[in-house]
Amino acid sequence: MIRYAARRLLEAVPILIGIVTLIFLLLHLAPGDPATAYFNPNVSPEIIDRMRENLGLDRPLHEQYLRWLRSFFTGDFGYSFSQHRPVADVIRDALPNTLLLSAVSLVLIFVVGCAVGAVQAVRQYSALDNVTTFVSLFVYSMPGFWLGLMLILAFSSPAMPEFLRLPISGVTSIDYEFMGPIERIVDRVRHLVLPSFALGIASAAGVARYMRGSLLEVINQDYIRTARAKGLSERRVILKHALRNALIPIVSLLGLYLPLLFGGSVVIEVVFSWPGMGRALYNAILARDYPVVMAASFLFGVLVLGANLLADMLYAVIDPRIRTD
Amino acid sequence: MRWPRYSSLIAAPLVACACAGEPPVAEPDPAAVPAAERYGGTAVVAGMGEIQTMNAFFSRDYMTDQFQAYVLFMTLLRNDDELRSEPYLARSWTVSPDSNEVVFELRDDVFWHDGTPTTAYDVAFTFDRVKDPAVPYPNRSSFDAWESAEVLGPHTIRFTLRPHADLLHGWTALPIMPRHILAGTAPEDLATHPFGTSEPVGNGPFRFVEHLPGDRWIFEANPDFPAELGGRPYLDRLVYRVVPNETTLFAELRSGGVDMYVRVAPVFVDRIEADPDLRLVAYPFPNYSFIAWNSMRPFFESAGVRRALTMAIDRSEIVEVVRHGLATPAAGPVGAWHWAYDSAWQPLGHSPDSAAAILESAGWRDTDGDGVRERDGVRFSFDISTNESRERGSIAELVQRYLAQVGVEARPRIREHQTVIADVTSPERRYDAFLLSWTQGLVLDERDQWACDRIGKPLQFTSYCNPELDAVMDSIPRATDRSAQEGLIRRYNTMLAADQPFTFLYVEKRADALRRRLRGASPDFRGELADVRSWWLFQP
Amino acid sequence: MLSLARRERGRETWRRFRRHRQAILGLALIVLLTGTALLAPALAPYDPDAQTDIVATRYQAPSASHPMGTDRFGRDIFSRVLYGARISLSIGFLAILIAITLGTAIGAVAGFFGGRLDTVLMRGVDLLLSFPRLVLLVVLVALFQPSIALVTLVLGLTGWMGVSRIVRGQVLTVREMEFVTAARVLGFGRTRILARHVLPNVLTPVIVAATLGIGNTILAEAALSFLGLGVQPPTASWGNMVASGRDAMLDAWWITTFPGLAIVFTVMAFNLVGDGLRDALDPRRVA
Repeated sequence: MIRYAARRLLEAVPILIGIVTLIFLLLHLAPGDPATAYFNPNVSPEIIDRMRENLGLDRPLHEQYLRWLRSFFTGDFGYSFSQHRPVADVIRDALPNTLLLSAVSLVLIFVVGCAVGAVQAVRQYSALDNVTTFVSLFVYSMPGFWLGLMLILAFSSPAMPEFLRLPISGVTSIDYEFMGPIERIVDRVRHLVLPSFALGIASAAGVARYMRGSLLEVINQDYIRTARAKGLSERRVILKHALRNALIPIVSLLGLYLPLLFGGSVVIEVVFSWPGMGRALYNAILARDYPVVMAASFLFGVLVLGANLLADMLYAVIDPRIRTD
Repeated sequence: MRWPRYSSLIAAPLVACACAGEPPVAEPDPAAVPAAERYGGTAVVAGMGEIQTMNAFFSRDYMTDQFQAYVLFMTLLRNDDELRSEPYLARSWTVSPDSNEVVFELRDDVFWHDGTPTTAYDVAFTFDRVKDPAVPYPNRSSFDAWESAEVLGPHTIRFTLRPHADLLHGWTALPIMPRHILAGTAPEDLATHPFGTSEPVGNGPFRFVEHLPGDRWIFEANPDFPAELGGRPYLDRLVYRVVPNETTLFAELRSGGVDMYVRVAPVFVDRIEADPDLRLVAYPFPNYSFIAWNSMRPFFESAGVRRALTMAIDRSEIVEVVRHGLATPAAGPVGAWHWAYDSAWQPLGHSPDSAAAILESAGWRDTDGDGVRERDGVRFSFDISTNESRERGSIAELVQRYLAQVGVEARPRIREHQTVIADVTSPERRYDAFLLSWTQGLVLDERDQWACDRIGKPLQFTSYCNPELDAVMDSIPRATDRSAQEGLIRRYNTMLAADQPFTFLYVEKRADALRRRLRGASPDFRGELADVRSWWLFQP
Repeated sequence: MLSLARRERGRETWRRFRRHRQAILGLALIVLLTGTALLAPALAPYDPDAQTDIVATRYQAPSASHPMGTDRFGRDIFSRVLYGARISLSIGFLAILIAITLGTAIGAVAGFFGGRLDTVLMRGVDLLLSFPRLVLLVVLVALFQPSIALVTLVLGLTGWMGVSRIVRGQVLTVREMEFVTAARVLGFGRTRILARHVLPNVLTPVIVAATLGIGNTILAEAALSFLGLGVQPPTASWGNMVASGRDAMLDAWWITTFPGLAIVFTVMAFNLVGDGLRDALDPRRVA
């Protein structure tokens, strides 16, 4: 297992170098540069040229690339052109927000998804099954930003009773600093409810459909029939025998959702004004803030490859039939 | 996407209308609350754009300018509501009879928030950096005529300069930076100094508490703010929040999470006016939208044809549809916000028939009956580039329809912002026509845009050239008083209106939405935050 | 012989699919949607782009003359939803066509020929999967005008990697099967074996993935429109209708609701059909 992981990690290196090289070329292919962001009738062209020079943009492309690569591998991510601070700081601020939102959404996806799917399978063809199937498919089919905006408007509506009001944007309340430790946790959790719901619910619906199918397949297999025939209670049969086996293929879905979530969702982060990686990356691309785009893309690659590896290894642990080498 | 803006916080003596309705009948009457009881509370200002730095040498946009000049730092001078300079950090000043020397006498009771006194050395330091070519201070042209500084005493500084119009205006927009913190940093390294983003130290009415990038800036009242300037602000705290989506921003305003929504989206205007908890303040603002015609293209060579295109466009309808009335059709580059504006100016009227007649007589005729005019085998058909802002996308759609009515085919070409800029500023001018808006400075020195000798430079993208206009533009900064300037600025406007190198579409009315509990705030052309020291929260 | 068996299997699949009530419902919906898209010019009561006297006609609530109301330009939303179906569905179909063609070709070549080629191709797929799609999107949109063709191409070119993995896995299994070995023994060329014997036997999961993918593509176009990178107005796509009406959701709910529902029902329909197909094509699965 360890050797397998080591080999995978080694394989990741050329992929990551490929990613940053490709990003570098793409970015410089796109028209405009960080200095064009200063284009304005009140700014003389000389000042823009001066900026270009200060940013090293007047150097030949390969020189810029090598310089970036060299400093990158010595751990220096450079400075953000548009934010006037080290790229490391930009990431340090945005990444935890994204990881927090992703982690909560992930739990929601799997807990809600599996629970709903299991209930549907056990009550196959019941009204409950039909209604939840329809509702989860409906939610799955909605554009994410539309769902998000509807949640925001609903929860900020004067018609919403006070006790149901939830924060609609941001990570913490304005008076967060003055709160006690418990209040702070409560405040953060409350801020997470709507964005994590909007981010995760569609995937949860996907997991539910998958879980339903998987559990139904298990239920119809011989050993479950045997267990039933032995006179075990239905509850025990489902919980002890069927559920465990049905969960195995669900783990492979983890590999699918982890990378999606770690990248941060620009749309959800914009709608809920959540200061995460997706928005940081998006703004950086628009501002042609090369160092931020490069570092964020590199990180994205690391997270995706790491998430894939994690999912594969988890799968191997759960299902001994899979060999890793 | 808005234009980044640099600039002068001075605007002109124009009277902004605070179009707010009467406050609702609330008891007790807010006006009756004595000043001593107004202290306390946190006000939240929110906008779509991020504020990236508090370092005044790298200010990037209008809200950033305001937080620097009005909240965290102090400028030497500020503007009163008729745009006369009034004392602020400078207690008084004297201008020598021939206008080539200015002596500022500074207040001696202003301290940096770390306790160090603010002195003339800070002013000299700030001036040196502004003049240093290694520092890309965007507003440097305001100080072109200012030659050198000499500190005469801890609170006295003398400048030598060449006489020019609007002598002092640069000082109302330049926040003084702390020498004791920044002087040790090489000028070219100032951009990356943590002072700007994580540890700013100011001397203004509020001091820095925390910056959560992409989320908020938190400031708190400065208890040591000079009593003569009003003393400690009423608010305990002032927060700026970034909410990058207009619907979310409006929802926060409506539910009380935000006290002021800056530059409100026009679509919410009716709802704000109908809500008893909210009020809308709208005022003319030096930002105009335009279509630039590339005069290197055969269609746009002649002023007559360009005028015809403007006449074909129904600008009143655009203002109504796109801005819900929050704008006025423009008569030229000088808007109603400017002191030299002449209310007798009439924008070219909307008249498709006259437009068609002009095109006809210019030789543009539809001979093959396809609905599009031709001349010498060239079809009157071109691209209008614009960025992917929804407001301008809509305008492009409307313009396409208006021009089709007079036999001109305009194809909207909606591109990513930086791409449009790169095309337009390229020496080859890779565009036919483009639609954008931008914010002007008070001092209308726009030679980079129009002067014949700037053709080929990035900002002279129309390649329009009129030597007579050049002469007028050159004499504006040389005029030393407003009465001499007025005639020149008016001629400047009239000549551009006649030649229409741009179709000047409309001048924006900036609008802000406020919760009624926020008192003492009256946004106008000087900005939302000019009077932030006297904001207070009314709790009945 | 082979083709007979295939036809037999096809008939069996159809029989099973038919029993799947929800899938039939989904299929009916897709047929209906495609029909309306094709007949849009005949069905639409108004020109979808017509604007006249905007200030008087905009933001009208649904009524007899405008069953879905009007938008901020006074355009008839019902007509725009009909015309939008053409854009949204063709983007969905074409982008998926690009994605499955590319994905199948690359996956099949990698799996069938194996060796170094396989390694190189699959590392390439890994690279693209861990590549931030957003950067690619913005740069492409910056380089070219965001037209329908560009959006389709971008969604197609960024959507094939999953398919190629599925296909490669299938090919690895199929290529060891007896009939492939037999073809090899008979001296058939490798390309011919791949095209005639291997590919037809790995298409099942591809068809399912394609059906599910169409829905996802329509959702992706909507997300692009939200960021201003999708199909540009005045051309109506369901995605840009929802995106451009979003600021008026409180006052004119109809502007976003109807195109939004059109997206929801279309995506649902493709998912129902996809599920039905999966069950029908895979005899071991139970519905």
